[in-house]
Amino acid sequence: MRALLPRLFGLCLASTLAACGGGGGGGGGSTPTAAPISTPTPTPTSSPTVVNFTTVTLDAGPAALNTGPDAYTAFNEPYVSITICAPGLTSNCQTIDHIILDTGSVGLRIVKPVINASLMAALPTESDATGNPVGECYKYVNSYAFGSVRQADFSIAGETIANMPFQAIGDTGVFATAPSSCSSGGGTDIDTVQAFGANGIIGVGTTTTDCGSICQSGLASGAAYYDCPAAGCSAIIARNANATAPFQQLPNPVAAFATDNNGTLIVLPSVAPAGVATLTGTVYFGIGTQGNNALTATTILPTTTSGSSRGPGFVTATYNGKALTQSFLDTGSNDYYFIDTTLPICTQTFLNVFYCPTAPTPLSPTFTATNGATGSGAFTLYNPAVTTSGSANVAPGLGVNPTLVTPPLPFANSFDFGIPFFFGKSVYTAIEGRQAGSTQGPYFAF
Amino acid sequence: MTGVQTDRAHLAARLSSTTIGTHTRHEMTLPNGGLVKEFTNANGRVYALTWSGPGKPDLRSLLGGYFDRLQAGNARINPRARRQPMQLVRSDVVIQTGGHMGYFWGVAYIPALAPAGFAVTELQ
Repeated sequence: MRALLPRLFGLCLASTLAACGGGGGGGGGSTPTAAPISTPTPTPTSSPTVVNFTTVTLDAGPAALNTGPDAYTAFNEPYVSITICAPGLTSNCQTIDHIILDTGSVGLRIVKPVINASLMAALPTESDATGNPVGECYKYVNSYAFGSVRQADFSIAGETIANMPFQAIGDTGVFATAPSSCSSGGGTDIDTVQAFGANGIIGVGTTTTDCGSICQSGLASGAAYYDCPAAGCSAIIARNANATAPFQQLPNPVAAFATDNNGTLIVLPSVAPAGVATLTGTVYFGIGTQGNNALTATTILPTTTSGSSRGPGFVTATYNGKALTQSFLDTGSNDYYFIDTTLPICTQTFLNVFYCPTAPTPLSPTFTATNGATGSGAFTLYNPAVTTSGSANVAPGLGVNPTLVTPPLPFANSFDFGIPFFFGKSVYTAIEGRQAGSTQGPYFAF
Repeated sequence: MTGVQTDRAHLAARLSSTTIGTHTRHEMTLPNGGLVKEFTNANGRVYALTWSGPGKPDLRSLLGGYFDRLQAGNARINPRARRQPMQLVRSDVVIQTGGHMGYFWGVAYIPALAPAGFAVTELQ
């Protein structure tokens, strides 16, 4: 792969930037997104320069969501396109659109049926110490995804990683059934595009791998790796936490890039209260590594690390006088999630977890970082039944109450600043242990 | 909500128990550093449990018959609120979950088995 890099780079220069950033490719199982219209011109830097940015699109989602009795359209989901190739083979590649760009998780996961059969057959499965294939379970707050751990030559924009492991969700054969210790955490098995809400997800959060030391010790966190003999996957196995090749756990792809590997900068336009059908912005890889990703943020908020008993990637948000010590910025959350028992909840059937304020309501949570730095988390809360257009796939300022239980329970210590917080901002997510501009990661900045 | 010793063995956990007034708190430390706490009433029945830590414990085992009800009550993800955590609020059982990458938590209790004067805020 290393020898191919100059050739890939040459293709990018000779063609349009869009060809590097996401369009095109040999996708039979998915439709590529439109070429970016207003992609900024990268500032020239010392050579060799890698194209370090690509378009982020929020739209109705892949067509597979809007089919059948459970048809729906995506809401506030930021998507990018990625390309995977059979290791060492640029002739067997596929560009896959509608991959969620998620600052709240780590690792590349693709719903298996969107991968061309001929490519899938050429993607080796990781094998463990006994020679058996490796499976992975990954748990989200209300769901889980199980599948094989495959290797591919990965690229996004001009950034490439050879032999990068990713999770093929809903893989068949020995991976057909999620292990009991995976499903017993509860939640929905999200093993189809419609259930997942996307063709896949690329987690670019604050950690370098998706599990870290816990999986290295052969235990489970939200992620767990499995030995998968012919009888199926059952035993959890130890996998090292290398952030560069040779990989075992899924890496944060950004941390595994050869350059621009200290974090991301996500730039999204502001959105009018009624919302829009489509929104496009840009994700830049690297912080302070090229002319287009300088750290110009006025608020820099170092977060907890993997060693924290609270978990990684958290800051404190103080809201209504309560210090919420496990708060976070998350492009993978489509709303703000927070508890405020003084705000009315909507009564409409499909909105009855949302706040329905009687008028647009300015809210003023404040951030406190692990180093004591502070910042404003202020935003205006809107009423989805009144303000949001019915045709909007993207809308700002919607809040969800994550708990039905009153009074709020002792563990409810989060204010989740979802994708609406990123509208109209330039938000940096710096990776743990990496120097990023003036400050060492992990941090969020804006 | 089966029994403390059964759960301790199933979870391969270290156990320490403390009696406070009308209830006993059994604190189990899991191999991955997570915590499961079970609360028993004067008759030794589990009336509440909490979990917290880097992963999710075996809720099918811990919640017993309530697990399937929690699953059934949260079978469909709301596309406009995809991160809404699983929860179940019924007259006979209350379950609330939450979390984010690297830290998940939950609380479950059975009001009919709880000691008089029980408040959910005691479930620390």
